[in-house]
Amino acid sequence: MAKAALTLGRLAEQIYLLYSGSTMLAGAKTTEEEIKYLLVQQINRLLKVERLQETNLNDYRLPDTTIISNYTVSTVTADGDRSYFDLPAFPISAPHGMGLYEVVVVDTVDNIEYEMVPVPSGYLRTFLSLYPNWKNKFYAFSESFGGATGGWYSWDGGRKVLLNSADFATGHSVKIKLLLVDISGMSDTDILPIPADMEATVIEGVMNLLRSRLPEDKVIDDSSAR
Amino acid sequence: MTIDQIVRRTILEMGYTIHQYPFFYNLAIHGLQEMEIDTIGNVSEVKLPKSSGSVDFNMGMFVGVRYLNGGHFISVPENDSLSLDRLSTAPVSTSGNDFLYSFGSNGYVTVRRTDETKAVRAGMTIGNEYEYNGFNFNIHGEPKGRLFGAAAGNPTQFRYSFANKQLAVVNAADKDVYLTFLSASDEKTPATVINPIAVEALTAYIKAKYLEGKRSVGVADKQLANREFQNAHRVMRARRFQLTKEDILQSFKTSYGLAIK
Repeated sequence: MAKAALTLGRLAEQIYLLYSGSTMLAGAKTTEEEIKYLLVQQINRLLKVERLQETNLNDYRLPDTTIISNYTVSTVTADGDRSYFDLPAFPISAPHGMGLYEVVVVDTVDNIEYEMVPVPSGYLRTFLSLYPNWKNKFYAFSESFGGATGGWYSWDGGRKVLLNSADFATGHSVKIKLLLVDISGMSDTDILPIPADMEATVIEGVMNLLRSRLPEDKVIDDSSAR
Repeated sequence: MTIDQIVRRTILEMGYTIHQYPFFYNLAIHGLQEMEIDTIGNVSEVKLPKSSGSVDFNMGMFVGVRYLNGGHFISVPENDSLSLDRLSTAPVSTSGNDFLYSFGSNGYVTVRRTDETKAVRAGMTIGNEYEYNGFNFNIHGEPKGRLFGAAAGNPTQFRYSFANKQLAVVNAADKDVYLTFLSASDEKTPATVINPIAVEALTAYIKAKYLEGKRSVGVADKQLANREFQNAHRVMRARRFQLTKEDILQSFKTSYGLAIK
């Protein structure tokens, strides 16, 4: 039998086998779906602990590319002089908002991409006071010699990401990169974006979580006394 | 290279991400002010009018005054003894050797002109035909060197008051006087192009200043980064002024002899 590459489904089954000692049966309490969620949660934790600290994220170095997920956000909402969009998923926490790894505004009419520069929300007003010409302008230099600064975005770790201009609310979409492994975009047959040396650690982590579960409560009653 | 490119270049060389951009941009803008040369070409010049009128310029910072003599600009020396109060009493006129320019906010320049009397000129130490600027000689009659190379007679001199937005220029009726200044309208943006010879120094400045504030960086590395900036800065100045240490030494050798006693 050919060995399967490490996919989400394959790993979930392997864990189930280790946990229950039998192959997966329909109606099993710890379902495969649950194990998959645990798996991805564990992977995201390990990616931060192992991969990012290896690459010294505290010093804002480049993160490992395996943890970058790409999204396109098509809804940008005007908000006074500014506009904002909502994150489709929450990335891992990293210093200086590095969880939101890249924001590119796409002019869908002229098909031009503007790279946005992050200004940390804590510094936003200070930065704009020092450099008032950044307030509402965006610099469309992507076609010229001068680089590709589009404007700025500001993210305080919540769902909203603020963009510098209200112009982006119409005729624009946003391409973003987030530091996370997102289960929603992953099928059972997708190869997991984790390095080989992390597999055993992921399995161990999920097994530890499963072992500490309470036994199944077969009595139908108020379970708050347990 | 633009400021944007220099910031990105520094990010790339130091292995950081775009999240470092605002911090490096801030350092880049401050670094430009440390370069001591006109790195972004915003020293502007305007010919001062001989009578009142609107002049299309927006002065952010006064730099200096010079006049055109043939094909060469001659720098006008500053004289703090010039009395702006005295010149303020001059009429708004089209004749006279001594000028007082008052700069309005809308680019309007009021020009007052007069010919100060000999007594006043002496009091202002702006020279007259009877006195050869006595204050430039010591009590033994030896020249202090202040007028070394300056033409005899009544020199053109200026005084600028930042508070009053006034500029006095004396002995200037027959000269085309130019005002050099930093333009207030020249905003620096990420697209501002930097003088190529300042690129290396500016990059080194960003690195040195950024590392300086990091606790995780050792003192030796900080000193090394600072030394790299100083060297890049020295090279930049040498290229800008085409003046090396050897040139300076050569200048000493050829220009200085024994002093006259």
